[in-house]
Amino acid sequence: MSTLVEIKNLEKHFPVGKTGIFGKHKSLLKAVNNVSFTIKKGENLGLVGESGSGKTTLGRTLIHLIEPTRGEVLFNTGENKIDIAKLRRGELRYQWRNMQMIFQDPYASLNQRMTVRDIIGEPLVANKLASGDELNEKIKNMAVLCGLKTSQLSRYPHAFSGGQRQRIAIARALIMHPQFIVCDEAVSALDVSIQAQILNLLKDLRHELDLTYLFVAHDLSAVAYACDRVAVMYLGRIVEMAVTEELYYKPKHPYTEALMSAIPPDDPEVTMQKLFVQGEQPSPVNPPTGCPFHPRCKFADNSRCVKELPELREVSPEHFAACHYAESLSLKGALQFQVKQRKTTNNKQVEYLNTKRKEIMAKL
Amino acid sequence: MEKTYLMQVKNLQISWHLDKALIPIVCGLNFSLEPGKVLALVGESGCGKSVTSLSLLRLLAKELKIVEGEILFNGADGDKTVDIAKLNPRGREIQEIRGGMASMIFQEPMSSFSPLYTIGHQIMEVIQQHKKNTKEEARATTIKLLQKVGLADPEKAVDRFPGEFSGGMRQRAMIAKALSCDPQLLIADEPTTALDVTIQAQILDLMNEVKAEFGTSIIFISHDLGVVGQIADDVAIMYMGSIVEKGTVKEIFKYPKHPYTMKLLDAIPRLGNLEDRKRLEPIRGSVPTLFSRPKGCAFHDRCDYFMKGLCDESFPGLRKISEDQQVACHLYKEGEE
Repeated sequence: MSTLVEIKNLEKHFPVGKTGIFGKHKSLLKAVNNVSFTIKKGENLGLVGESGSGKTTLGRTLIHLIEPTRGEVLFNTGENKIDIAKLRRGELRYQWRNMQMIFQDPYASLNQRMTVRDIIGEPLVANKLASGDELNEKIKNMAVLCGLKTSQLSRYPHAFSGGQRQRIAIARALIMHPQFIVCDEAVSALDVSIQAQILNLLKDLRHELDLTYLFVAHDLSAVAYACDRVAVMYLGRIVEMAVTEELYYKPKHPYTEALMSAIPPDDPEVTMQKLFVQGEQPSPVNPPTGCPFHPRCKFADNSRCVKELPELREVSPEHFAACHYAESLSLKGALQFQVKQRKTTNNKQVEYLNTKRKEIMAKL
Repeated sequence: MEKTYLMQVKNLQISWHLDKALIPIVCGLNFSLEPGKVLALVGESGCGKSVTSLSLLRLLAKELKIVEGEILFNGADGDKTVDIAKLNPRGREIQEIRGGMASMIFQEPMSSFSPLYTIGHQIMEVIQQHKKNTKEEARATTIKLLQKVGLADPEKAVDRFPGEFSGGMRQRAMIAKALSCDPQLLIADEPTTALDVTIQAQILDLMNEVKAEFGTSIIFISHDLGVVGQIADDVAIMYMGSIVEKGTVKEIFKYPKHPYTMKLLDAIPRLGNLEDRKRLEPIRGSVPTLFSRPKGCAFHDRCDYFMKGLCDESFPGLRKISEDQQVACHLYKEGEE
């Protein structure tokens, strides 16, 4: 698979803590700290981490919604590679046709005063890509593709439920046929049953429209289901990155193991094991020296982990981890904490209920 | 011998007064809580679980009114049973129960503490209100509580402001506040929803400890079935303001009976079988709005086993199908599995 986006040493710093009116900023919050990775064409790359780990900032910096402090984001348009991080406003607007974003809260991301038709068509109008009948046709097609009814197009967002609003947001993001979509917690605000619908929709659209996703989320189970590869972020850095099964079942970084141990098991009869990590993520303004995870890590030693920052390196093929001892640690994966569980409902029960239904219906 | 209940809710109905219309939010809830047990109310947003929890301590907004039903609370001194539903929401009696015998943990620890007072001040306030303690005694108790809930350096934490705490620490402080008067009942409204997974696991651990140590009964409101499985003894699944299935945690998770529960469990992405990541099985459609409540069974238009003429006509009441499982569905008859 060819590379679609190549991120090199990307950084985003926010100044915090001003002193006086003309004073300098006291310190820098390094929300994204020297991050390098690649996104392959057609894949769905998951990005997980706790709140404050910088995953949202990374997602936004990547498509230059936020000006990066330094680093490169090379986007492969097919003909040439463009550095998104260096683009000026006008060129950026042009490139945004190729990359779009789906936001977390569909209650906040849609303009209340625009009809669904106008919302979905807005990107085409703003970029002067279509008008008149052509515009209408495109809007209709995209709406249907995203599971909306054409009869609903002249209504306003308030008439829709959360799941349907998210469908509108997805239709808006896809109307210009971009190649790359950043889904920033796109399913986090939704209920489980609706979340499943949207995850399925995103999956279908990816195959249909040949899309590449960066799927930012904190829900580890949803990410596992949706993504081909997953990157774990901690304090502005990527600490581990691998194919989903590898990362979940054979993690190489103690922090990933800790995350796996924190997921409540599917089966209520399996008691959760004692958590593999203590305390909370330190403030990113003042990160620990050496390995950022060392104060919470149970494997940390007093010399190397405290002093030396571990680089993200390839531990085994296609499996990257930023830990000095990644090779020697034997860590537990999700399967050791979870039970391998089949679907809850089995066919027998469904069959039984169906016969029962027929019996009752016959009596009516 | 009849079971003793700490709290028993009978036919609770709550409506939203909108201009002149009455919109039913909670329609006839029945459940009971034994001492020392954890009952979880589970459902999607808009199913009325939070409204129910607020009504138990009469914290409902003005527009929401209890139309009918009883909330019997056995926690008062001796064997006196109080019907909370009949009390004046601003009266003396409910204020003695609220924060004293029964207390609440809210979802968003940021917005439930006042940013203007120290954590210690806000916890001492509760203690002084309910016990005739001096300020020094209350302070000592507060420090002890903060230590119990696992806050580092409790002597200093007492004098800190909520803004200086992280989300997890604030939720710990909130639990300390809720426990300050040794309540018999703890109502936890989505206590872990706003937290990260690792912090969530820590808070669940803490709540399990509290339950074991103080024998506190807990009503746990959540939409996360995984979390519920780890803490609850009994589970009630709610849909559109009524309970559709009720039973022990094992029954509900392993042998769900109501079509909605079955679907809900299937819709959760599971980590166990990543190799065959097929499509998830969502529930089709979406939860109806409060203004368009379907006739009969509220779930009928999303159900795979819809029976025309029955499900859309008559409302299925809860029926007991085994010793510890009740289900509200026309597919089942009383006493038959």
